[in-house]
Amino acid sequence: MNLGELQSGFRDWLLDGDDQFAAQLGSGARAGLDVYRNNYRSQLRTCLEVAYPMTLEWIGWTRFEAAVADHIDSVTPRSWTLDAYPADFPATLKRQLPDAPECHELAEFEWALSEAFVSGDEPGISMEGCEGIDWDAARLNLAPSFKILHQDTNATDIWSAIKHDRPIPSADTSETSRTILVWRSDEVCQFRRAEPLEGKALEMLSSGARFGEVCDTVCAALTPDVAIESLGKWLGQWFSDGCIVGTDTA
Amino acid sequence: MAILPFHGFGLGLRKQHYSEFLETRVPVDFVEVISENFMVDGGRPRRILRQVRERYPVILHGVSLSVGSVDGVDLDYLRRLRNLVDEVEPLFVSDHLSWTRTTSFNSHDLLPLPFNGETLEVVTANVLKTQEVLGREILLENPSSYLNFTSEMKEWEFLSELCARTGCGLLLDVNNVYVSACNNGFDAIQYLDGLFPKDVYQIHLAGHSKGTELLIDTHDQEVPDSVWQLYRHVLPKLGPVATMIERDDAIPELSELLSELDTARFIAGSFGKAAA
Repeated sequence: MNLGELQSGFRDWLLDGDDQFAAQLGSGARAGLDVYRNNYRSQLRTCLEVAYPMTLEWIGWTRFEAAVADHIDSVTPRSWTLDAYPADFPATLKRQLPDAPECHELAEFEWALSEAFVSGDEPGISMEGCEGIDWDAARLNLAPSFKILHQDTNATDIWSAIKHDRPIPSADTSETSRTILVWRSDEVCQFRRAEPLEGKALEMLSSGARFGEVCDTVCAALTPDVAIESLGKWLGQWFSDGCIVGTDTA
Repeated sequence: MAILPFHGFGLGLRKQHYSEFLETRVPVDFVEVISENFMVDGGRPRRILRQVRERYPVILHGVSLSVGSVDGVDLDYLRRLRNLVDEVEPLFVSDHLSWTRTTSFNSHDLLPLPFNGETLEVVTANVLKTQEVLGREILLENPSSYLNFTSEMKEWEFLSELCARTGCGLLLDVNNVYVSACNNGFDAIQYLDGLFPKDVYQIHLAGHSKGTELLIDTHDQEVPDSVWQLYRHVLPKLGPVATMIERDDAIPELSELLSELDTARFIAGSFGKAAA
């Protein structure tokens, strides 16, 4: 067995407990192989538990562990960093618990917070510093941490209740298409719920649209007075929240 | 950039102790951090590391280089590590003599290698590539092993040859020598005596647990007498080295780790090797 064959065989052992590979190494190797396989799986399990404490709290150990086992069996770690492994766990929860969508949405929200926590450092700029720019032509650069989630449950309410040790609400799926904004200001992760149209405006900015194009979209959806008032309010809040890190009029 | 020897006593920096390291002057000569924990784009981890670096010399110790991978080293990983190296200007950059990765799979564990000519060729090429990207020579640590491949060379012979071929140095984990010796049936003293002292720049001291059939490198206990005895054996043979207590689980109060570090200082002092 050359080194490449050994490493492929070892990978198959870790993933599937491939007895053929174990047999090739001889009976004396079995105890050691079991240690490596146990280390592999327990490390991934711990990684998921650490990444999703609120989700674990909400769904309980039994269902969480079942989802973890499913995830480890079906999702192969590929990145150089273990921190990337939990990224797909919400999809596993969605498959495992299709009748309880708040579970995967809660995990999705926890993951968005984790990503924001270690995203790039770009301080927000002030609105006063933008005096004199051509707003119609301006592109507003959003913070690297900024993310928009679309959720159909009250997962963020559940998260807040668990986080702050308050009475935990029941899952609520009566209202769909909730827009949740997530970002980091200094070192603190922030989130708030937004109107769908504000979410649409931010998605346009995120895609590189000019502010004038965003205004056109908002004005087409609202009466002129309400559109101007909404845009002014949103813009002020984006700046004061530290979500805007630069402008570009080129 | 050649490796510069450093003589001193340090600890692995763990989250539980961040505030003490930043708010007080902890009596250590250096701290070692896990590189991957800080190879993120920004946020609190990078700020903490910058502040720690302002107060203490830092060693970057990695777990994901996978220097034994037949598929070669991951250049994206290396570029990120290079960015961190440039920012931190560490005393040493280290990783393990192991493999973690094949194409499209990363075990996130330090998996064992057979010590033969083919492996030596692979590891040599990967170390040279790593050192080229990082612009400096690295240290490699002997990992704990739970199985014994049929090998042409002893682990210490392999390491010595690797150092000669690449210019890399050794991070000698004395606990890992003990664990592997017990698990794989070789003599730990023979291992230590077989190394070239000039290759060793750093020492890890840690504890382990007893599994059903094997010793497990858990780093969740204090350094046991068996490991202190090996430290006493090897230290007089070495030149300047950075000695470190490594604890990764069941992290105790900082004072407990400093007490263990004092034991290392005392042993070193008895051989005339007190820190500068």
